[in-house]
Amino acid sequence: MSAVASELAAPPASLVGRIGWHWKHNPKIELWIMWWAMVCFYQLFGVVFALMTRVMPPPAPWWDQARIVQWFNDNHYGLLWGFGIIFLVAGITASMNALIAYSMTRMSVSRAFSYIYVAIYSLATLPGMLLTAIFLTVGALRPDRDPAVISWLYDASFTAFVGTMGVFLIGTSVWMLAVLLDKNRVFPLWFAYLNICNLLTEIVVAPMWIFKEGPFAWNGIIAFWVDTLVFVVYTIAFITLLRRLIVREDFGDGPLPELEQRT
Amino acid sequence: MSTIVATNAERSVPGQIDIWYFVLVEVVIFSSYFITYMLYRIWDPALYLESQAHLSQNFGALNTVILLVSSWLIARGVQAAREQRYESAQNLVGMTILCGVLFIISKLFEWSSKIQQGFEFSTNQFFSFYYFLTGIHVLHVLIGFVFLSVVIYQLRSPQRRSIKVIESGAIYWHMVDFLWVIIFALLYVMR
Amino acid sequence: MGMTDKRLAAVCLLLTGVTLLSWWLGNSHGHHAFTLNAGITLGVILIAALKVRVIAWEFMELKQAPLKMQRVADAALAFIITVLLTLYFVGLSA
Repeated sequence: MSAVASELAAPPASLVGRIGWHWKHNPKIELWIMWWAMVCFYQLFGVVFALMTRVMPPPAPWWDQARIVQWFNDNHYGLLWGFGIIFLVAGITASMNALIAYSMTRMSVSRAFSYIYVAIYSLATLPGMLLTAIFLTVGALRPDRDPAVISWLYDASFTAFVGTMGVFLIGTSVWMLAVLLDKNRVFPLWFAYLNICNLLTEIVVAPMWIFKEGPFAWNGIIAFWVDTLVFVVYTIAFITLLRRLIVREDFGDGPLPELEQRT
Repeated sequence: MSTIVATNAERSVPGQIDIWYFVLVEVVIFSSYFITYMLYRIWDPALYLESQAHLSQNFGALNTVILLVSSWLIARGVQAAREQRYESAQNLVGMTILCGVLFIISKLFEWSSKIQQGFEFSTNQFFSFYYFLTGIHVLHVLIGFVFLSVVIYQLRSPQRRSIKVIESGAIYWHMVDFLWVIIFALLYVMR
Repeated sequence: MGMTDKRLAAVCLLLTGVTLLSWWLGNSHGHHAFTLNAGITLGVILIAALKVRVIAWEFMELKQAPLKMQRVADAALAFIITVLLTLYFVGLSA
């Protein structure tokens, strides 16, 4: 990065120059790095889980052992490369948790809320994706094992991926409560209510432990599709709102200024 | 009965607009449940009809009436709050909560009698839907208690008494009511 | 009892009456009634739609809300009822 902008004038015209200027002078640069890390992570997550490893949408829970072994063979390279990426970058989720915790420290509520949130969500990658990634990678790299064991890995992967939601349930409730109590108007009230929808989906997935087929199985209309759709809407909402928070941030501790005309 | 039609100038959003966004999202989510139910139902109508025969129509109708009355009570409560009869508003909201408790007790009775008769969550697909829909609805009733408690908290002190918050709590409760109306029709009475 | 209270009481009575009507529809033929019956289904779902509309308009006070909200509410209700009934009748004829 060249030393283009040493003066506090307007940023230079060239792209590299602009980046350099912001790097030195924009007080929000750290927040923006966190935000972009979160956006990049979700993109990568989508590519890996939906396109490379074929974990989303999940394959059928009712397959017999031969079919499951075949699934591992069909997706061998996708699983290895995809989860290889995940093992490398899983830690980036911390930037998202940090940014969300930051939003709570900007509220008029106790710091305890952001501490609880970070503590709970530090566990989230485990049931949310790492267990699945580990089990499926083991299955892909040990094709010579007993098909019964391979099937066990398959079941464990998808039940962990879809069905372990207590972490998210409590974490979402904490964030919701903070938004409801906040007087600084960091987030709009509707977002607090949207949290209710998201935390209910965590309960709706519970029946997938029982059923191997139908709407409540791990690939069912209700337990997977409706829930995932709600989660996607929720995620888009909070990513947008966090962006808005950074734009509005004044590094004070009173009410957060409202957005001016489209900045 | 008066039939006053509001002119455009008099029109206003009841409660906070935020609660309406929430109601809209909830309606979309529940609609997807109802459509899924109907899709699976037309696949195997005989199973659904036969299972429906084991539900108690009386319990279903009783539940509906309890919730309708509770909606009526809270609507009167909001009206009382507007007319600054806070004492009676509190009583009305309290009675609304009581109706909610009655609803849950009757649901618990109904569930336990079904389970004693051997109809459980995994007995067949109809009963999966039955326990799922009634269960997720009861969760909404429980969340409703939180909303109504906030309403009472608002009513208690002259420093608070935000009519918008009170109306929003009532709107949530009415949503719980109309969701049950559809669940009642789909699970208990349709053939 | 003011005008509004009377109106609310009338609404509650109407809703309860309609509920009893659908309860009677579902119960009128005893246990022989559990056979496919398009008439009962149509009636029951339309009654439910009416009840939802009345709850939204009278209790949730959409009747004096901005027109845009009313249109969204009506569209949503019409949509879900149409989809449910269409599915049901497609299922009957299949």
